[in-house]
Amino acid sequence: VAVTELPHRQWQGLVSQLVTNVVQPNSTEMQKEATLEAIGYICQEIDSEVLITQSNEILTAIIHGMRSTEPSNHVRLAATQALLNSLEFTKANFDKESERNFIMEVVCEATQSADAQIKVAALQCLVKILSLYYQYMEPYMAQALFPITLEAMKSENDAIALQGIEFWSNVSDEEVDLAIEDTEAADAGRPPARVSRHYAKGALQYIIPVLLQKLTKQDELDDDDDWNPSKAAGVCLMLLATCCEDEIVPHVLPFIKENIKSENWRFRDASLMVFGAILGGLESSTLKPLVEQAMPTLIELMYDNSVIVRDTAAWTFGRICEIIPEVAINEPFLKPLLESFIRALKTEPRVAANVCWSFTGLAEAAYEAADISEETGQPDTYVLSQYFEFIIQNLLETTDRADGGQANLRPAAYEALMEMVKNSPKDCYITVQRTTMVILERLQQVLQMETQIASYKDRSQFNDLQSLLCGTLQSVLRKVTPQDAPQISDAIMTAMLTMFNSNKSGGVQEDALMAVSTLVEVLSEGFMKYMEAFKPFLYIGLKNHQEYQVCGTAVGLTGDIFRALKIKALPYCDEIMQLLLENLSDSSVHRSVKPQILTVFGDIVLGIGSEFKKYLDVVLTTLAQASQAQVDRNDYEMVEYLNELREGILDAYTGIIQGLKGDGPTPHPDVRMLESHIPHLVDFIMCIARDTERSEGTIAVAAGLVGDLCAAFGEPMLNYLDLDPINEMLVHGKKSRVSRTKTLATWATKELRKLKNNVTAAAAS
Amino acid sequence: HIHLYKAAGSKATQTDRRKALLKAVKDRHNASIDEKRGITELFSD
Repeated sequence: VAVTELPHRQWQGLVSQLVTNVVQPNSTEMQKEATLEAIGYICQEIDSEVLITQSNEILTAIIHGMRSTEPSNHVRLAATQALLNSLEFTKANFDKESERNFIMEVVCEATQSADAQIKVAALQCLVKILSLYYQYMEPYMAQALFPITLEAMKSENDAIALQGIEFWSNVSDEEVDLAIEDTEAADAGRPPARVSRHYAKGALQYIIPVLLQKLTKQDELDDDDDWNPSKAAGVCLMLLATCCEDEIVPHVLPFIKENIKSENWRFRDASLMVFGAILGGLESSTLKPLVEQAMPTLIELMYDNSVIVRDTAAWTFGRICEIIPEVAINEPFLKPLLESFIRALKTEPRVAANVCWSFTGLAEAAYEAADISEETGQPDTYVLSQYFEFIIQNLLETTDRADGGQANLRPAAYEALMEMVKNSPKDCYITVQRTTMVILERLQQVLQMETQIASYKDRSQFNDLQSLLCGTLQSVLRKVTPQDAPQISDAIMTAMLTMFNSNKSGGVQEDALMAVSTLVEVLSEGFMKYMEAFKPFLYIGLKNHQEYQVCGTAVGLTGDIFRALKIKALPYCDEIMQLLLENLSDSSVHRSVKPQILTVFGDIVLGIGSEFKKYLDVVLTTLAQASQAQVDRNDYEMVEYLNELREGILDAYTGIIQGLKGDGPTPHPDVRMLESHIPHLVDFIMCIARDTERSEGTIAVAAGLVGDLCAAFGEPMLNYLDLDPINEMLVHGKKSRVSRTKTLATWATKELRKLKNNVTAAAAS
Repeated sequence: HIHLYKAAGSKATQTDRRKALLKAVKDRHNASIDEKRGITELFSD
């Protein structure tokens, strides 16, 4: 009730009443406990802004209940848990040194309670305080936080140890963020708002021995859902490595060397886990020799007696193939490594799933390392070519395993398949062709199974399988040559239409739309013959407001269709424009779809050119309205959305100018229909130029539009565009790290200069 | 931090495909626009 009423300024006496319940001397233990629990629940559920003005009162009650002099452990526990939920809105109290000192003292005291539950709750408070108020922790770190959490990590009580480890995981997370902020500030030539105190680096020598010891306490009957200190230690090491980089190596290397061949599987596994965990943080010069040296042993461990060790070995290879794949794709390791992978694909699902992940990284790395042929834009061959068919065959078999539902194996195998195909060179094309046929056959088989679905579980697996097959179809289609595509497109489209007809799951529809998108890309104008049969399903997708991702995919596909079919798509344009405009004005359509629709307007006008004139008024009015949008600047997500929306608006204007201007050497007169809108358009560009929170993407598209306006309307545009904010935006864009922003800002500057030169030349003559 | 444990990046989720598709659609849109502008450079970021 409080969560409902307090935000509306009702039940104003509640908090005072609750506080009185806790602090008045004659309250019973049960009264105090129940009240503190109520405070805790309210704090947990309510928007923290609502309670800010009452934070003093609430803290008074909580701290009163937490004091070491409080005789009841029940009350202390309820108070400590309430504190955990109130930390977000007590910033004002943390800002004041005396109050902060008092809160920290009470929390630290509570961590020393003999009651394990109170101890755990107090440690949870410390974990959260560290994340929320890192900048204030300096006076407490060496004296209190470090010894308290180190002691907690060593505890035999798992719940206590977990909080000790979590504290250092959070320190690492926080300091990684601070390092990023520091780099960003340095790049922008300003001091960072907050600085790292490098607590993690300072603590390495003390906490790593404890983490290594915890790592060896694996749960033999491991369940994915169980969280224990051994797993938490693995994650903490990973985060520490990201935070401390090479400095972690001397602290862990002796343990790895000593235990990687231990007789005891727990130590072999812990050693492997450390090795895999630190890979992400090391400098390439440290990492490469380390991994090269370890390769033979790691491959050996893929054949270990213990499934836990094999699982960790396969996971480590997944990490290697992602982080430093160049070691894996080189002789002399490649062949024995692939042998171990192929063998492991037939073992326990958890091991096989990690191997699938490894193939994903391997495929990408092998493709990137290959020489690209200038003629085809892809490699003729690569290091995996001789093994390609065999790997694909084995991955296809893996996707078919009866136990593929475990450990995410089936999706992992399909993904590996997708990546292998996507990253395949020319000399593997025959296998790609065969795989296309296998996937198509499977799709047809699956569609025939529709009538046999009996249970909810069957339906869910059936849908997942259809989605995965559509996904795989997308990657094989991208590799199919323009000559081969028309030969298989009828069969693919038939399967897709059957799927649209029979399966109403949004997820499946979305994947099928994505597959059609790829087919449009491959067939280009050749897709026209399917439009009549396909259009009802495109329209259903565009009307799917509830499942906005389906709607968004249908919108994206609409853009593809107009780019591919161009003027041939005209017969469908009225209906599509109507649906898109309806979606824009419908508040039940998710906001993320709207910028995409605006971009598609650009695609449509580019596709149909002057035929777009009949929609021009309504579209320009819509764009003018959309360009007035404002958001809460304190809400990061909304600022991001505003940038997306503006990109969409600029995309639409760009398409309209280019589409109406035509491709001829002189602009088509139709483009003059835009003239009366130019002042508004320039105002919009100025608004973006002045916005300090504009994105790099927005700058790119705004710069592009500046160039387009110059090209379409010539010298009169100088008066509109040669202004300080716009020139400053272009200067900023030219220095951008994002290549499209840089290129378009440079191009727009040149277009402006061309006009200026023309004016100067005309004046001189 | 539970989700980070032995997190095999291998989750062939629809979210990944969706993200890839949105990026691909945007890339194709941008490429066709820039081609008309006569900017033929490949954008690799």
